[in-house]
Amino acid sequence: MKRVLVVDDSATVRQQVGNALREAGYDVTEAVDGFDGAEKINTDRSIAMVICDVNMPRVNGLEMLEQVKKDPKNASLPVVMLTTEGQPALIDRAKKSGAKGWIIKPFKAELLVAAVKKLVA
Amino acid sequence: MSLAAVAEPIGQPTSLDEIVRSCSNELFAAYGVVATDTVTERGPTEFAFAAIIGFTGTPLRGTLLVTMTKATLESSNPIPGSPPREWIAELSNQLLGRVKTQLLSCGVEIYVSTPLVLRGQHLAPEALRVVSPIELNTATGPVIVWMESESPEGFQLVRQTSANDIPSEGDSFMF
Repeated sequence: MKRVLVVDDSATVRQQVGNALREAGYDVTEAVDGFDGAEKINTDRSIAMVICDVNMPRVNGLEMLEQVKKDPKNASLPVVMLTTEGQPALIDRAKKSGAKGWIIKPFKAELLVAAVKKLVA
Repeated sequence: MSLAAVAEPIGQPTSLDEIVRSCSNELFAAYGVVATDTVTERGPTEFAFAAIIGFTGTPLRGTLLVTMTKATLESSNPIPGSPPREWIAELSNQLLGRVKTQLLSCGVEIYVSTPLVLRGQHLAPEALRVVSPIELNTATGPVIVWMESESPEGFQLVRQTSANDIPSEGDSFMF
């Protein structure tokens, strides 16, 4: 079973995303912000994909993305941003930093699951 | 109705109130709560939850306050039983996120703070100036949204790009 890390400071969103992914047959692990997310990515090598919010305390999602992508071990780890943000400049920054997608909240569960299936097939 | 469908043409003025009203309606609709602009009572008089979230930018800055009854909060919550504090904070964040995206089409970029949540009765801002609330009526009680903002005298929001050209809620981009 593929493991997906969900990084979001909202427990409700983590649960909402987690429920959609578990129903689709994925194992889900959670992190409460970018700092926690980076730690989990660097210590749990079974993580196959990351769904990550942008605006979070301590380390935000884009900072986390840039940080983890500096490590060559994470080069092929797919990261999709899930956020209320829609600024083209931020989307472009995520793309340049190695993200594989950007989804704007509120999300449709089927779209999210389709993106995960495509990236961790 | 989506904001894109009612958005003013490029070059036409719009107002922050109109943006907030459209975004509020859309957000609640996305979570299955039908809201209308007509209220049957004046604000939540029972214990209510409120989220306050600030924003800053050039030339616009201010604060958004959203308040609703526990029943309305619960009816919009996709995870029944999760803490009300958690969900109203996320709702306010998503609402201001929508407003932020619409302001981008007017060439205004804002930065959003983290929300503060309150619980109480007769919650309302003690605003710098008279701020008319945006009131939405739902089956479980009213939702009241106040947007207090400051901008230079004569400042006007004008659509610079079509609302259809900016990313909107539910959109996904795969790279």
